Amino acid sequence: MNEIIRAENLTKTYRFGESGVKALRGVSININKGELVSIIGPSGSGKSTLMHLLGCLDTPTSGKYLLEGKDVSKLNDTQLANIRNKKIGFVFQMFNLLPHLTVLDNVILPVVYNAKSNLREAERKAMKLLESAGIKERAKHLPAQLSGGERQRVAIVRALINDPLIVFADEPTGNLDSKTGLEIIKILKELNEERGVTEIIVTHDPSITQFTHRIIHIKDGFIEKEVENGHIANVGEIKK
Amino acid sequence: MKIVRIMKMSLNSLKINKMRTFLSMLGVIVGVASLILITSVGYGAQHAILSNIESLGSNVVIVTPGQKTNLFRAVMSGTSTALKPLTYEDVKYLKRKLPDARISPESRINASVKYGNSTISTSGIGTNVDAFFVSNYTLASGRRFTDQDIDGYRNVCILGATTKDSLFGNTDPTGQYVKINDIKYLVIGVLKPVGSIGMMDLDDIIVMPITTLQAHTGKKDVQVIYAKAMDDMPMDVLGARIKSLLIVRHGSENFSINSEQQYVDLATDVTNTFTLMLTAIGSIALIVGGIGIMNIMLASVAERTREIGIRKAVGAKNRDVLLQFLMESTLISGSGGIIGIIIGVVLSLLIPQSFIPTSITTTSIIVGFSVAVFIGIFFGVYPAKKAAQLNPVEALRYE
Repeated sequence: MNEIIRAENLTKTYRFGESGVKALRGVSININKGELVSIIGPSGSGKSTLMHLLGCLDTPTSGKYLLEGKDVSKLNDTQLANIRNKKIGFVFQMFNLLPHLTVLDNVILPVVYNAKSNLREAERKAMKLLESAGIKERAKHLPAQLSGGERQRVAIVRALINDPLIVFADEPTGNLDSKTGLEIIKILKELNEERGVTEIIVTHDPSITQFTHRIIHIKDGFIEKEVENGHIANVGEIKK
Repeated sequence: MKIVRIMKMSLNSLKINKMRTFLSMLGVIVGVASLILITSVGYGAQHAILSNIESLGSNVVIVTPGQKTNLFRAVMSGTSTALKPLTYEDVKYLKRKLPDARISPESRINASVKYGNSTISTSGIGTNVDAFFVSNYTLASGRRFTDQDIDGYRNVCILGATTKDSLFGNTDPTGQYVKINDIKYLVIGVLKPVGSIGMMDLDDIIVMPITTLQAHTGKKDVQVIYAKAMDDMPMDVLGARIKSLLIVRHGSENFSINSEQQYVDLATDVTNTFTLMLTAIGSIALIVGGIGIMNIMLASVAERTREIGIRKAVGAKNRDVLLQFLMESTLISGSGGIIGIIIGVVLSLLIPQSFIPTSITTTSIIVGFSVAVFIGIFFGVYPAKKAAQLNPVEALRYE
């Protein structure tokens, strides 16, 4: 097995003055290359915190996190930023596109922060990715001129621009109607199947977990259960 | 170059909110413009005063009443406080003892000069024949005073160029009569124009014999005595001889002898102090402008918390964010500085040279721009640090 994520006994405590809130109470998780995993749990269960830790947006209070075999749990801000830039792609519920940048500029934003990159090349690559996402003609538009589904496609293309090791999707369909949501799921599934992109999808919606390989249930900061999905659904089969 | 990419981001952010960018520039614009204007007026005034003092003629010894250790205080406190004034008798005495020197007194009064139906206020100066050798009096037309004019208390006068223009226009006043403070004088000549010092028009004068002026006003004292050696006697020797002669005559050293150089130093001191004071005021405007920029940048950081979170999520390092916001504040203050320089230069060029002489120096332009950039960096560091240190998770959650 080609293991890219190995997290051991991760905890995260948020301090509010004297008291602390334990968002994660010891979570261990392994993700292999090419896997499509969903993390599901009610709000406040700690699933978002887990995603932030695995996505190197934050560091754990205790525990060990190996990304490609390298311990990243003690890295400083700059080192984490480098990892986010080169190895991780994010797709958010709120799309999180910069409103004043065009679609193309939003997509190449991660490349801009890589000093050694070639922006021309990145633009060409971005146009190809936008084309395969079916929104090539939107490249010069601003996010506000796009529909929700189109915006989320832009966000997915942005997450892919640096060929990341892993893509995290945090409630990717949460702000979309069910039909558009299914389209986004279809894209995510195809990316995994056709391009071998490793994906972790965080959701509270059980129907989305139906097309993932493995379903991790989180509750009260613990992993409640981990289920191998016996029947990986096609997009057409996903029941809402 | 990454720095160029980040600069482009900063420029884009500034373009999004043009009105706000302009308003945050305003303080720096006003500050730099006033700095440029002030220094150009300051340098201009200094230049004009110095060239006028120099045109007084070199090797002129200046005697003023009262013993003052500090020339600056001597000028500021005036001459009326002197216990024993200088008199025209002193001038006559010095002339007798120093036949090879030209010695002229100067006594000033407010003169109301009337010709026909027009009356003007000007500066009346009482002096003698030697003034034409010692001071910068040169005739444009007519004749100088003679010893007979002085000794005979004649009611004759010579007009400064401005005085002549305002009373006579283009006609030749020589041979005409004017009334100075209600006493009739014959105009015998007109002086060539010499220009102005700052706002003081040196041609706005009317010159008359010291004797006549003293007879009509009852004043016995003279405010200044100028002396100049006609042979090759050095200035300090002339000064020393005048000093010993006057000490004998007055019984004590109750007067001051200065050279032209000391006046140059004084004028430089005065204008430098003046310029420094105004510069301090301009600097306050700049500091206020800087605080304005800091305010706007802090508001901008708060407003763009989510943007900062997104940038960090895709891999922006703390220093990338720091640099972006620091560049925004520096671009604001730097462009404010450039606009301020342009406005300052245009304004100082618009001021008529006859009103206030101005002189724009490259130093003031370079200093103005550097100060503006410095202000942007100085007041931008805190907001930029705040932006850079935002936690990405919290920033992304920000609504």
